[in-house]
Amino acid sequence: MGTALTPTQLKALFETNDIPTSANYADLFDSFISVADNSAQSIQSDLTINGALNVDKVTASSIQTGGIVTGVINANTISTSALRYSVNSSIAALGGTLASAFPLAHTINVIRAVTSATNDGVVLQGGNTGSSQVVFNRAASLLLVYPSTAAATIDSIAAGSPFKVTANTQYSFTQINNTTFYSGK
Amino acid sequence: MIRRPIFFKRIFRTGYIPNTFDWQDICDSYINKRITKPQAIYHDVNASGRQVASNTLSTNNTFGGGGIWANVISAANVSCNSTTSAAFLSLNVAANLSPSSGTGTAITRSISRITSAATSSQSNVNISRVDIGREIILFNRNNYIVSVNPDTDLQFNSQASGAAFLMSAATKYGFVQVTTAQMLVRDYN
Repeated sequence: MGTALTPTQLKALFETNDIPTSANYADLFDSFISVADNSAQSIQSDLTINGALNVDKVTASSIQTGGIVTGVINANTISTSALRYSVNSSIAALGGTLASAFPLAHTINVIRAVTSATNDGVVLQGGNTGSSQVVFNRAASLLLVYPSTAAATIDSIAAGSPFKVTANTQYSFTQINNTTFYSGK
Repeated sequence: MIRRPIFFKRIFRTGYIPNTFDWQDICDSYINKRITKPQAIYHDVNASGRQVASNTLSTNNTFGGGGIWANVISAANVSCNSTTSAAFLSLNVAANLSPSSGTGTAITRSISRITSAATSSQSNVNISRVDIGREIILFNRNNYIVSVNPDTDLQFNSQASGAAFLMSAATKYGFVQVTTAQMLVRDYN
């Protein structure tokens, strides 16, 4: 097992006419980041990468970006001048039941078409406790908003039953736990 | 001197006895674990494991990968194609924004508190088109109705393009850019 040395230290060991020892070579090999080593490696300095950094997961005390994060962001605090939500700006609600209503997959959801005769509705996305989805009903008819599952509730409405959003109004729905959503403006 | 692996492979061959400069080039060509001064890589890096930075990790472009875990994320614009999870989210605030006459004072922050209108005719602000998905939140905390004016080719709800949205005193509204041409007004009241 070698010891990581600085370039200056290494250069002093490997000069013309030197006869490096096994330990010297071990130090040399252990002083650099290996592309084949599958154990954790670390460096002591700042590292600038002028190309892309493609990794499975990043952990840091502070992350600053000028662009988009592809993947999940988890942080204790996010401080930003602007937050961009995902948007579906043209949704046609689907009719009948929780099972057949349109599944909402974005944070901002704009419903443009509702047919009241078929009890058109949308379904909130589950599995994201703490998240909110905003529903703009821009259609002329009453919109039914279902919780994510038949076991879930919105406010004090019966499990699996819809919250009613009148025409040209908007509500947000915040998921408190796996089976509970609360509405708000 | 920094050299590529292909260079070393041509030099370090059976029977060759490296000299001082060969070894110096080796030492200068790889990321060193011990050194503390900044180091740089001039092309893409792929890592199958987790990347941990005890200090700041920054990019001028896109963060890609399975995700980012951090205590603090400080960014000019947070956009994520999946889930953003944070215990606290702080947005850029204008705490005391004075409206003005004409097309009004430009709104540049995500959250603005409108105060200090001298007269009703000077209670104008204007919102320009922002990225789709962004929301501009306004608190009207003065004593007059505030006219919120969009760009001439931008509409609020189903109003005509360029037509103002009127905010009563002591109200809160959000203006969400849902398409290039339309902002929907979120009524928080």
